Amino acid sequence: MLRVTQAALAAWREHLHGTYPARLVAFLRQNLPEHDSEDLPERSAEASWRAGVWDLVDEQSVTTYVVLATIHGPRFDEQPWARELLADPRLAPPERIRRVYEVAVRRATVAGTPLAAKERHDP
Amino acid sequence: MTPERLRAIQDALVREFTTDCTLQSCQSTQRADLVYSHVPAAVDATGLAPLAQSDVDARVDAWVWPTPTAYEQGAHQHATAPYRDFIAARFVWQELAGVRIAGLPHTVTPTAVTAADGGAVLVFQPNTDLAAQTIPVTITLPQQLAVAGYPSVRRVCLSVPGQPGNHADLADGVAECSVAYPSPRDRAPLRLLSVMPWFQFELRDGDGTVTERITGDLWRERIGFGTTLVARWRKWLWETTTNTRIGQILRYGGTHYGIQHLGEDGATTVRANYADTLSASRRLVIAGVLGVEGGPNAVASHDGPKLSWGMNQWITPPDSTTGEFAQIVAYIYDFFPAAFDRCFGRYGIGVTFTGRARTWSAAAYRNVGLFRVPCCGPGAAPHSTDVRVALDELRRALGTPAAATQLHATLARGFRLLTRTDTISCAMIYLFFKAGSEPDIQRAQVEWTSFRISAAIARLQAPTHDAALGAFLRSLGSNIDDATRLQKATASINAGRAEGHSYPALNARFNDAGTAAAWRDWATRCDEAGKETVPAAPPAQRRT
Repeated sequence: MLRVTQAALAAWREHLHGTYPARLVAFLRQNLPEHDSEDLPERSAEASWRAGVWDLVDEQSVTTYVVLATIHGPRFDEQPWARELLADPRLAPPERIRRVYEVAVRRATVAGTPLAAKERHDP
Repeated sequence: MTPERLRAIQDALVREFTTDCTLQSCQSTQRADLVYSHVPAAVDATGLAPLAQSDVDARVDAWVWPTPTAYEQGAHQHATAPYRDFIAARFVWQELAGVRIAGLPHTVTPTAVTAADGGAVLVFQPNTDLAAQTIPVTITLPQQLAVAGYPSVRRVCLSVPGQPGNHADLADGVAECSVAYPSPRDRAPLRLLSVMPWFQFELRDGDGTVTERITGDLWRERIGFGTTLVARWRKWLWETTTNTRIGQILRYGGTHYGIQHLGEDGATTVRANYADTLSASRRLVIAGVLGVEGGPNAVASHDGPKLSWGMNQWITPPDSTTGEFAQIVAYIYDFFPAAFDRCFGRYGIGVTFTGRARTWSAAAYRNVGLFRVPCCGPGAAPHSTDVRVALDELRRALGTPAAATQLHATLARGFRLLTRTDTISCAMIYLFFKAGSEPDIQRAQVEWTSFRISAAIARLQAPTHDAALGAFLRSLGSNIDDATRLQKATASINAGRAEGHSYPALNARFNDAGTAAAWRDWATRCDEAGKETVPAAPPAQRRT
């Protein structure tokens, strides 16, 4: 029977962390191929770093942030619909970015309908 | 992007990335921002010559680059974009060493000083939080060399390429200011720190009472036809730090308002000079022209949405960015570089052209263009030049084996003055008014005028002075009637006589004895100065 020790888990996490940038780029290339370009590694690294400014430190939250930055631009966090949630002190950071993603989905849903203008600034 | 696709991406990232693994090292690595400090004077084409080669090493060796070297060697996170922008920026603006930057929170060293290449690396402590919206930094400037007669106030701009900057104005003698750090959360962009010679403009009544202080971007605040409202009618425009009265706002056509200064003081100076290089006939014609068109420091913006400047009231024509206004400025840039730099270059104004014709005409410079490098951008129209776009273009040009002139043309294209209304900003009106009082600029105007006299009389058989003057003014496109022309010309000639100068009679035959060849003939002027023309000078006339 295979036993996973704390040390092995830590080593695995270390390994995972070291490979995160490459895994992130591969993920983006696979799921957002229309945004692929020579500078994708640099753009994704930049967005990862900027995610840290919003206290997003786990891989899932950072990747969510990077996906949104890739779709909506590196300064999407300055737009009211994202900024208000990202800066909300009542929520844990992973919950903030999860809700931002939900808003992004909602915006995509109502895009082109009369609701778009009405909900534009509604987080 | 459809909501369905967003859900699919979300599902994929939840599968592939967990919340257990954190990215501590991303936050624990130092961040470093690159700063480039500069004055707005564009790097001259001749300065680019040793650098416009395909060999990158040769370019790097030609100038010192302590800041990129320090950036390369640092243990912080490295980014390519600011590094590349720093190199491109050195081809746009002249670097400024000795600027102190202090007050940024969490920097490893509390104060940075720009090096010989104008650069500084701001290294931040790990886990630095710059999420605050506004972070003021203290900028301390090195002592500047005063230019006699010009304002010594300065404006500081801190920006990132492609974005409007944060500005602070420094009064005379003040070297320190506080400016908000731009895009504090972004580590990617280069920070541009511009130090510009600046001005202060006021409108005053005739008795000196201040009615309005003109603020904002003085390169965009225009006074002239189609812009200025009746409330400013009859006010006088002053540059207050030098106590200089520039001109009065007059009405034109019943509904338009703009500056007019006839330049009579400059006309007096011109009439008093050039007896050793110009014949009495040419000085007579020039005295007449001064009365009809204006003195060398004459400026007018009331009769059209453009600046009319100098002894020939040169303008930029409609739907054009060239015209004779650009030609005379090109002549100053070409033959009087020190005066050009003092009057225009250090304010970021530059000239581009691709060659000189062998025969003088009002289009002697080929593909001429004026440009001005701004401190930041993009700006609103008419200055819609974008620093981001220009840096990218220049970076691409650097990677090719371009000649220096091509590199300079790239720079000029990026910041070209877009329309004739660009010439009626307060800053431009003042600079051209001021330049017209400079001896070298006056000489350039007189020489250019003399070349036009030669061209005008070449078509006449044994002309009288009056005929030469008429031909000259018609060549300018003057639509003034003969009687008025004669009246104004005679007034200026009589003023010259009253000042003690001797002129032949207007109806006497034009006699060019006493005119130096280089003042009469453009090709000779070019040959003697070692300037190439197209076609080239015959071998016997080439200067070795």
